[in-house]
Amino acid sequence: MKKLDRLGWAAGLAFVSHGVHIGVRVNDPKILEQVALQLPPQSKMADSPEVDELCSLLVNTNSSGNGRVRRYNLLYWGVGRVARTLDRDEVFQALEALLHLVVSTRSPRKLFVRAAVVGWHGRAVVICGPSGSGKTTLAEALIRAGATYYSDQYAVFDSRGRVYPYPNPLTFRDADGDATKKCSAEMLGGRMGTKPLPVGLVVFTQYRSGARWRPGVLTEGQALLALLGETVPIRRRPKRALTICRRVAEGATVLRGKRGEANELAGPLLNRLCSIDHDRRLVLTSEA
Amino acid sequence: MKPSARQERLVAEQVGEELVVYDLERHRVHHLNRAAALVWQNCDGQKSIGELKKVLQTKLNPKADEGIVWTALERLGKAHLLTEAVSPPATMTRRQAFRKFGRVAALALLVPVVKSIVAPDAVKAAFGGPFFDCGGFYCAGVVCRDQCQFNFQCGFSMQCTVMPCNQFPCLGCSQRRCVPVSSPFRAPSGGSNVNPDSTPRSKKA
Repeated sequence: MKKLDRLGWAAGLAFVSHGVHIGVRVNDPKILEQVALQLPPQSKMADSPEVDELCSLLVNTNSSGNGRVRRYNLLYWGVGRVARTLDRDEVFQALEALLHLVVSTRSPRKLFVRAAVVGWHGRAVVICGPSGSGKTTLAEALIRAGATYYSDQYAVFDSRGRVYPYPNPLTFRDADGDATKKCSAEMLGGRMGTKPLPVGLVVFTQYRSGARWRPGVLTEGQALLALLGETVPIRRRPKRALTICRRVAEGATVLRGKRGEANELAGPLLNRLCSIDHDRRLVLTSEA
Repeated sequence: MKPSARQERLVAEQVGEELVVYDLERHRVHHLNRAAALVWQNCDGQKSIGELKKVLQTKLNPKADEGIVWTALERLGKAHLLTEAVSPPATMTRRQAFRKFGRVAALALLVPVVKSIVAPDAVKAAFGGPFFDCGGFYCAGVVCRDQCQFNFQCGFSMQCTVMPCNQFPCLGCSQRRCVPVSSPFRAPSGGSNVNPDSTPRSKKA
């Protein structure tokens, strides 16, 4: 770290996101504005320069273009080098990915699960699946059907199993997994969620052309296992991950199955959530 | 034969009648259905196979037999959830056990299931292996360097054992360090004796 500290750092910024204090220092003050664009959603600038995690970004400032000298753009996290590239855009993409990763692994009070999330009548629909499975497309269809947008990337749970907004722009990817388009929920005619919601429905699904939606209902144990498979900080805090995901699995209906076109599934999913709520109210009424 | 459930380096969470267990050593997560959970929770090193069968007959289904117990033990052993792996007797092959299940539909629903996944490694998923390879110089030699090799290097009532490192960016890596000696006399309860939620100290730069 001392070697890194001795390099010429010209400027920096500090911010707080989900309880994690993060600092980014740079060798060129002009790029701070671009750094600020990579911050996770709902980040707040911090007054104090003391941080929990420190990121160092060295960009190639050689504008004269000496062809014989290759100056890499470098990104460090603590003392570990995360990225080394000649392409400046790539290093900023790495910075964005790294900041999301650190917040999702280091947050002291929240548990991050890879998922897209929308809200519907006071309950959350959590869409889990591997990268490229069509979570964003399904989230878009649900937003167009009237659901409230919460996140395209992470379901952020508190200790009670409620999900919070993490409103990054929806990122649509091509077949190679590269981001091709970003848009906000407002651009889709939707609204952003603001309040934490209990989870009503968790869906593990993957797009397959021509597939019919015939999901299986998972038991609570199966649901817990499936959720843990998408939990970001599970290796770091397994006990906490188990406890919070158990609360989610116990309180929600969890479905798994292949799906066809997203716009054909949006209505049935929201209707299912309504019927779950109706059945729950019936049970509560009969118990009372 | 008195099988014993492993307790060290495991975190277990009861969910309904099922159990989900996290293996801190191997970073694997196991889901035990009701039958498998009952067998595992009753493997206290004191109960014989016959006694385990009686537990299943009482709590699960009166038709449960030793085939279910042996199948559960075999699967629990493969998942490293027992202190020692077990093998069914020569008189009880797996085909015979499943034939028995097939004859009685109710028993088929009681087949002990242990499903396992590898706990995802967020750092490797985001940035690939090379920079944060647990066996590489940076993680093994710097961030998560072993603090001991033998027990005598630790103090009284301490032992040198493998623990999660939890130092970014080497998340998911392990290191050897001195920890208090765990008692061998705890009865297996299906829960874990280990509290792995060690919150890292905040660093100020």
